[in-house]
Formats: sequence, structure tokens, C-alpha cells
Amino acid sequence: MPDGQAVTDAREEQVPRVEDPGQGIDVALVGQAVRGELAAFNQLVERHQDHLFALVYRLVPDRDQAADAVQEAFLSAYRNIASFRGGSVKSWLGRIAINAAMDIQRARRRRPSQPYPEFEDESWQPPAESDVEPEHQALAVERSRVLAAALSALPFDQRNCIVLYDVDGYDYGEIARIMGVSVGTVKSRIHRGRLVLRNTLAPSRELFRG
Amino acid sequence: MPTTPATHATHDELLLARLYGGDVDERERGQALNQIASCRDCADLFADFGAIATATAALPVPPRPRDFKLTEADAARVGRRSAVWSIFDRLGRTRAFGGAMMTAGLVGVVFVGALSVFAPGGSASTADKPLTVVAAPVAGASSPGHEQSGQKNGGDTAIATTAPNQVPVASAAPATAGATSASAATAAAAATAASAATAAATDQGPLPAATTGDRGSAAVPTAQPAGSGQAAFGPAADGQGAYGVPTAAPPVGSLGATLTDNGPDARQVAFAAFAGIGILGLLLLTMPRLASRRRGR
Repeated sequence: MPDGQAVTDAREEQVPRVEDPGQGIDVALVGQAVRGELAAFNQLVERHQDHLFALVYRLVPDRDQAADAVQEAFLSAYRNIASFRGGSVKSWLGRIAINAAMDIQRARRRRPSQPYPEFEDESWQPPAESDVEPEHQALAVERSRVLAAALSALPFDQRNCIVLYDVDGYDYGEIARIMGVSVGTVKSRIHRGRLVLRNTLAPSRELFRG
Repeated sequence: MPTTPATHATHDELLLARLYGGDVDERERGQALNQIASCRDCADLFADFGAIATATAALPVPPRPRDFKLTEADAARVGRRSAVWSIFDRLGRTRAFGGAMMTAGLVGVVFVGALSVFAPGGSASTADKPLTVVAAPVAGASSPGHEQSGQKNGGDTAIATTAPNQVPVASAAPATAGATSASAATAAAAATAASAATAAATDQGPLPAATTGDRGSAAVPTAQPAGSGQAAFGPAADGQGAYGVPTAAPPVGSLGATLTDNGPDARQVAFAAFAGIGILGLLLLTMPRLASRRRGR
């Protein structure tokens, strides 16, 4: 029988919050970029593009759309770099990217594309680890496919909140600030979304056990 | 442990989701833990939350399809915003702010316009003067043949309705529109922001009606209460009471003369201010979108 406190504590441990060791470098690069050095800004891009793409990809279930959102985020960051007021550059870029992702989601709401097409595409699958048994590898692929489909079926407000909370480790307050809603709304979206997600995945729950 | 679905159906699943998210107080926490301890389905549900969250975090991400570095052309195309604009944009949410401004301007324009129609009176200096439309010096407009006294209304207001009168009235329009200024321009501009409100004034022929509307007087060529009418483009001679003053017609741009004579009407100022606010709001509302289109977004 799982103990609630233990599980909650375990979840907290899953999302360690350590200071970004590259923060000093980032701030220096921002300073140079503010003075107009495009090369410095591109170093920032190089440092953060993988992280931002991974972040946005979970919000925008399409690789091309996610790429567009990330590109738009970097353009927006460059345009508004003078407004950077210190703090974590990574978080600042993350907020811009999330906003860009939400803009794209809203813009394409009426033209939904196939969600997470990569999981249906045999030409791209997660890289296999050498010491993983084929059976487990197949199980992981199937789990990813089912989970991606369930995530994409969520309303995007709920999906965004869950991804930001569970995957990126933002707290309720940060998510509320990013999404421009109240903390209560964020909590409600996460809890309800979590329930919907679990009920959607109930037939496949064995994939997530053990 | 009781595991019947009927029992579980009465349990609060959302409470378990809140427990998982650490969003419960002590009392709720005890209740939730009791639920988990007494119901296998609730325990499974709670365990699934953890398993799904873990799997979500481990969801693989495909390799990024391209490099996102900016080229010189990108940088030139995007441009840079000043810190002031960025702060304004961030705090004010430019488009929302623009929408609010446009709404306020529209409401103000309609309100001032309605005030002019339903509560005419304007400035005291012209309140008692008869309604007089002065034909601007357009060819034929000042000809005596085109002058015609309108119907008297209590001896104070004369309204033009007959066909010959439409010539000078209509011909006054271009002169006024072309020559005057702030009010006419504002009215035209307001028509952009509040097209519905001003369409009647601009479309229905006699421009003086629109212009007199600015001054808080008869906005439509129909009967007005006695004493409510005001001179359209200049003060009428005392006792005139006629629709048209051929000989003492003020020069083109006579609205300026009117302002000089009587001082600016508060309604005019309010109208212009609201119209300005509306136009500014419209610009704030549309410019970001236009700019993003220009950037090829």
C-alpha cells in the first residue's frame, strides 16, 4: 500500500532544483548580445536549443511545429533581449519558448495535425540502448506511443500544465505566471488532466507497471 | 480490503490527484490516505499517477530538425526593440491594451455623439442662436436663388427640406470638409474606428449635419427643439432664422472662425479626444499583427 507522503516526497526528489552552473556564462553572453553581438546570441542559442526543443516538443505534439515555435522563441528573445532583467537565462528563454508554443497551439487549434507523428513513424524511434532487451525496448516504444496519444488527446491547457509540472519541474506559481492564469486554475488543470490521462491509459496500464 | 466498484464509485478520485500534487490540507490528506488504505482501486489509481508521471518525464524527444542560430538576415529582419517598448509590451499586453483603448474610444465617441443628439445645447454663447447653415463659397452656393427660408419652428430654428436648398447645403460639404480641420478630420477618423456610429453622418448626404453634430447641435436635418440648434459654420446674424446666409458667409475654413468666436466646445474636445483614443487603440491592436506578418511569421 503506497503511502501518500512517501510518493509525494519521491516526486519532489525526482525534480532536483540545482542552480544552473552555466548561468554566469549565459549572463555574459546576454550582455554581449545586448551590445549587438549576434555571435554571442548564437552562442546562447547553441547552449539552449536542445533543451528548448525538448521542452516545446512535449507541448506541441509535432516536430515541425515545435521547431517553428523554438525558432520563433529565439527570434523573440533576440528582439527583446534588452528587456532581460537578470535571473536565470535558461528560465527566461524557457518562458519565451513556452509562450511561443502556446501561440502556435492557439493558431493551429482549428487545423489539428496528427499528434506526435514520430511515434507512428517507423523511421524514427527512440535510440535503443545496447544493454536493453528487445522485449523491453518494444515495451518502451509501445508505452511512449500510447502515452503520447493520450497526452495529445488532452486539452492543451491541461497538457501544458502537466508537462511543465511533471517534466520540467516548474512549480504551480511559475506555471501560473507563464500561462497568465491563477495558481488555483493551474492546480485544477493539473489534477483534472492527471485523472483524464489515467482514465485514458487505464486499458494499457500494464505498460506502466514495473 | 473492500474492492467493490460500487464502493470505489463513491470515492473522490480528484482528492487523490490533489494528494499526488501536494495540494491538500491535513484533513484532506488524512481522508485521502484513508481512501487509499481502504480501497484497492484508489490505491491503484494513486500508483498509476506516479507511473504515468514518470513515463511522461521519460518520453523520448526526437532530434531537433535544424539549427536555430540566427543569421545576419534574421537579425536584420527581426530588428531590436527598445527596452521601453519591451516592458510596455510585456506589462501592457499591447493588443489587449489596444482593444481596451479602442473600446473606450468607441464608447466615448458614441456617448458624446448621443449627448449631442439627445441633449443639445452646447456652449452658452450659441445656445440661443438660430440654426443656420452657411453655404461655403462654392460656385452657386451663395446665389440668392439658392437661398430659401426653411420652416420656422417657434421662430427660432429653421430646417431645410426643400429641394433647392439641398444645393447649397450639399455644396457646403466639400468646402467644409476640405477646409477645416480638427473636427472634420476627427469625424472622418472616428468613422474608421466607429464606422457604425458615424456612417449615418457621412453617408447620408448633407455633411453639415455631421459637422453640426460635432458642435452638439442638429445632427440630422430634421426638426430640432427651439433654441437647440447651433450655427454650423459660424454664428448667424441675429434674427436671421433662415436657412442660408448668402451675404455674410464666412470664409472657407470658417469653423476656425467659429472656434475663435465662441471658444472650443467641450463636446468637440471630448469627441476629438475619444476619437484619438480609439484610433490609438486600433493601431495598438493591429500593429503587432501587421508587424508579425511583415516579418513573415
